[in-house]
Amino acid sequence: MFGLGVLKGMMVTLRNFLGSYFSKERLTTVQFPEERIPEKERFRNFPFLVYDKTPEDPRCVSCDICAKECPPKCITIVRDSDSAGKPLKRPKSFDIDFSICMNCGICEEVCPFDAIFMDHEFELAQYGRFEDLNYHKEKLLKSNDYFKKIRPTDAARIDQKRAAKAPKA
Amino acid sequence: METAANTSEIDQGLKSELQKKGIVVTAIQDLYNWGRRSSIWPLQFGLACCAIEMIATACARYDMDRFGAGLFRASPRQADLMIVAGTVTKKMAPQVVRLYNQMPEPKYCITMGACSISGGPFKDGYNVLRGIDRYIPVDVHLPGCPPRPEALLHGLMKLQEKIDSQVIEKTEWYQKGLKREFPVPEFGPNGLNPPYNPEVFTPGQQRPITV
Amino acid sequence: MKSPEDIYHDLEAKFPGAGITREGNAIVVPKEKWAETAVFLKENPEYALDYLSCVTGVDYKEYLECVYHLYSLQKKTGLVTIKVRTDRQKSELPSVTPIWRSAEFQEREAYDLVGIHFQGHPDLRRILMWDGFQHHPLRKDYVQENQDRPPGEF
Repeated sequence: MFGLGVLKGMMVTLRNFLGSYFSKERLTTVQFPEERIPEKERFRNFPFLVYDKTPEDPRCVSCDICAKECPPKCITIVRDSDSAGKPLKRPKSFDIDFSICMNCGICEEVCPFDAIFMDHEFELAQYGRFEDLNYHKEKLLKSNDYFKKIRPTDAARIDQKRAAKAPKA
Repeated sequence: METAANTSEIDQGLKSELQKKGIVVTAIQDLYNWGRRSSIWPLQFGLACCAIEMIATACARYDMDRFGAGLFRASPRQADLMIVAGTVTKKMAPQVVRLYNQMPEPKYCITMGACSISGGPFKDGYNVLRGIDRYIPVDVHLPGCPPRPEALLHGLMKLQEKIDSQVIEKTEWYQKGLKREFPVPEFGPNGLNPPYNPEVFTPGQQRPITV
Repeated sequence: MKSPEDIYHDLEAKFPGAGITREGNAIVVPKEKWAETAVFLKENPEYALDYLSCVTGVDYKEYLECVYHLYSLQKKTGLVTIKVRTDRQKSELPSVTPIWRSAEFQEREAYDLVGIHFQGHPDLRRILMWDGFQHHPLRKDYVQENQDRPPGEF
């Protein structure tokens, strides 16, 4: 019959519409910002730096590997040096330009010191592009407890690996 | 002719002054801003992958129509928000500026995704414009590659806050002689001409290093 | 399925002394013989290579090269790679658009980005860059504009 396909499609829509009043699974709208979808652990958004005890000593030793491997080159690291000019194993400044970052996760994969991981924060809209979207070290540093909260299995695995290596040091 | 950006922010002193003026003025202003922010009609402007996320935001799960912004218009003359979603190439840039010029006041612009904010992962390409804010003023920048649909909704909420803060007595679009038309770049022999609009963009601000 | 070696030997037999050589899995054809070879590859019932899936322009330092990927839909046989070389200053190649229609847009792309002129192409103009663009972006000596220069400078 001519037009049967259109009617079948409309029946699907009608069933979804009427069914959404009676069963919860037909009503698929998630009322952001009041309701949110439960976070998946492997969700990958912008990176953040991990510190163990205090923000003054991050795990990052400023080896510059993530800056070299970053495909659009959005990471800039300046190594710290003490008063005599000798370089220290700590970054003086660590900038990630979030207006360029493409959330690939390569910086997390290549870091040999488990210092940088991908965060779950996505509500990052800003009014200004240069001052607000260029994240400096202070804004990027988050504690290991935060890391355990958002990614428990990964954090547990990293902690085990570091504890196993620690007695040798 | 002024080329002013939509940056009128209300500060607390002005608000209390207005309240001294009378309840009626602030009520009218609140009503005016509420009406404007609750029915922003976007222009259908998806260029690349971020357009898919914009479509997903307009679909059932993350409904953009709950915010009043679900009615995408095909013509710029009927739209008041342009969501630039996707990479802006140099070949497309004059068209984007032309469309922005055709939108009636008050108009807003959200750049969605890394590519339209700054060129993103393709910023070294031979045909990629490093951010559409070289030619038009942008109100909200939305990072991500692509940003989640909820991130686009959050960006829309931030724009609504900005609209809420605009003062009815200082609205630029009712002043005489204001025409926010931005010059359309032309195709040069090796790039666009001019490379940016000096009234809107100053180069050299990328990545200040904190030392 | 005839391997590239067999195709190469057949071509050698058909066009003796033309200078057809092999490079890995590809067959390098000199540009003077390319038009005839292309017709032979398409019309010959043993190969019937009737689907040109990709035309790519490449810039090596001393010469420009155009790589063709051919398939046969009739025989369902796979990839045959042909490379044709030309020099940088006077880069001209015979167009295969009259033979395989899918070359029309792809040769326009090779012209736009690498600068190879195809003789006999029905409509050779730029396809990705705009018409007034004066350079070929994928050449090794292309210098991009500085997007932060003051307006008015070129």
